Amino acid sequence: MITLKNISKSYQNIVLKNINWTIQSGEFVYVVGDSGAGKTTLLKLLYGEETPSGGSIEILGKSLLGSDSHTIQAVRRKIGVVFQDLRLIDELSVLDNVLLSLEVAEGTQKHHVRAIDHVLQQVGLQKFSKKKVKTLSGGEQARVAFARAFVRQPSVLIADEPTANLDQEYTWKLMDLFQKAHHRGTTVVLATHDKEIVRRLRSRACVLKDGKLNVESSLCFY
Amino acid sequence: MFLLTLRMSFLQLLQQRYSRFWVVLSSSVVLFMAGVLLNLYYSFTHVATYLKSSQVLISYLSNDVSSEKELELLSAIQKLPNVRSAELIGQEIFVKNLTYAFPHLANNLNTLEEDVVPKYIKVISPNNNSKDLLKKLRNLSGVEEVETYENRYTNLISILNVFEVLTLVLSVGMFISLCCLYVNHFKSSNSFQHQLQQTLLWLGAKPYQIAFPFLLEGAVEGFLGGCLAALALIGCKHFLGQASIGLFQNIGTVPPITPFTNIVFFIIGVSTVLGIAVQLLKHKSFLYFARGSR
Repeated sequence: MITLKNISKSYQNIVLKNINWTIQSGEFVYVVGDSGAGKTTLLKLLYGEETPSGGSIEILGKSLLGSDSHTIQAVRRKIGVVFQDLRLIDELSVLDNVLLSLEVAEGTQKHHVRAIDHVLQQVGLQKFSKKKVKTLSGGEQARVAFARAFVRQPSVLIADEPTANLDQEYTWKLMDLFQKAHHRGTTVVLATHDKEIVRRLRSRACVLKDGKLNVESSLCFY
Repeated sequence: MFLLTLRMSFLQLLQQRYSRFWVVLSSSVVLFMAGVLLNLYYSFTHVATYLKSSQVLISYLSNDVSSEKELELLSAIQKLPNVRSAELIGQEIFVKNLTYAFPHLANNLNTLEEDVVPKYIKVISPNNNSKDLLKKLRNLSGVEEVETYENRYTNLISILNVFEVLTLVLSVGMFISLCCLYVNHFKSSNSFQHQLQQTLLWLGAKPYQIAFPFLLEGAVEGFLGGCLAALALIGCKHFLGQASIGLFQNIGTVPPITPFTNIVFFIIGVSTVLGIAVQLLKHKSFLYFARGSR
């Protein structure tokens, strides 16, 4: 499903060194590490926001390195991403933000309303659907970001510190949604530095430290 | 996607409604001026073309020519080759026209004696080089003298040609100004536009999906500016038309031209196309993604 071979990435300094990593279909994988360890960079490589300095990336059968932007856009349409900074459109309503994602991916409005209703119900934002995103709290916005990523029913869900600015209650509510997505067969790659999440929701955790990814261990050791 | 994009475009317009209002207003002023200049250009061209393709010969009649003889002469002239039209201007009509042109001299003009008031037959020839006709008119009995407007027309045509070039250059200049106005306006994108563009990009939108809201925005602004200018042109034509009825009622030589409607549509069309084109240039990177990741 996702294969990284000899990936390295450097800006002024080396961020990622010779990373070899394979994520199987339907896996739930944590990418853990301290702040500044390179988690965000690693995830950015997965959805094509950054290009690696060396190595190759294959996601959903498509090689990202050297591909034209049309291929990268096609891959992006098949995956769901919950960005660290959420990247919602503040001026649009919750419904429109979610609808935008669905329309970009599928291009037609057929069955969209039902799909959006369903996902908003799951994230508990049905009554806020007409509200502008900028009027919502941080936790609610994070749930909108999840709904936007998940409404397309992507085969891969990538989330970059989705719980970073949330209180405990919202953190567990959101993590519950990721778990549900995983149980439905979605491959989830979630970056976090929250030790408690990894401890409680046991799954494969890959530790990123000094630019290297320890992918050998299964279960939680962080 | 289309309906949502349409809504986003209008949302973008609302986001900067005040600055956008001023841009639409400014563009409409520029377009209005361009429209006026284009109208003038077509008018000058039309008059110059008409004058080039026709010659006016004024055949002054002797004062002793009777009314019957005047009509005979008119009929004879109308039958001559190379005569487009011939019109008898009797002494009464001449004084009436003169009174209309100089109303403050009405009392003096009405006291003029018959032997000082000319009567003539105004002949219009489609041929610019009508020496034969001139000769024939001079040989007619009762015709005292034939005057041509050739020299006057030559000068007038030269002046009209200068005005033609001037109005055309100025109207092109107006359209260039409009381009600069749009470029400057669309260059300063707001945070909403940036947010929208980036989000669409990360969601995997196709290039045209990213560019479309902005193209639509350019089209709407251009169209609104064009419509405002068109309204101003129509209003201007209406009021000027009312005012000029009296002023030009005696000038019947040049048939009226009506490219006005075409110019109004041209103004709206050009404004809309320019709005789209400027946005297209700004967002062309999203229409033709470069290779490699964004």
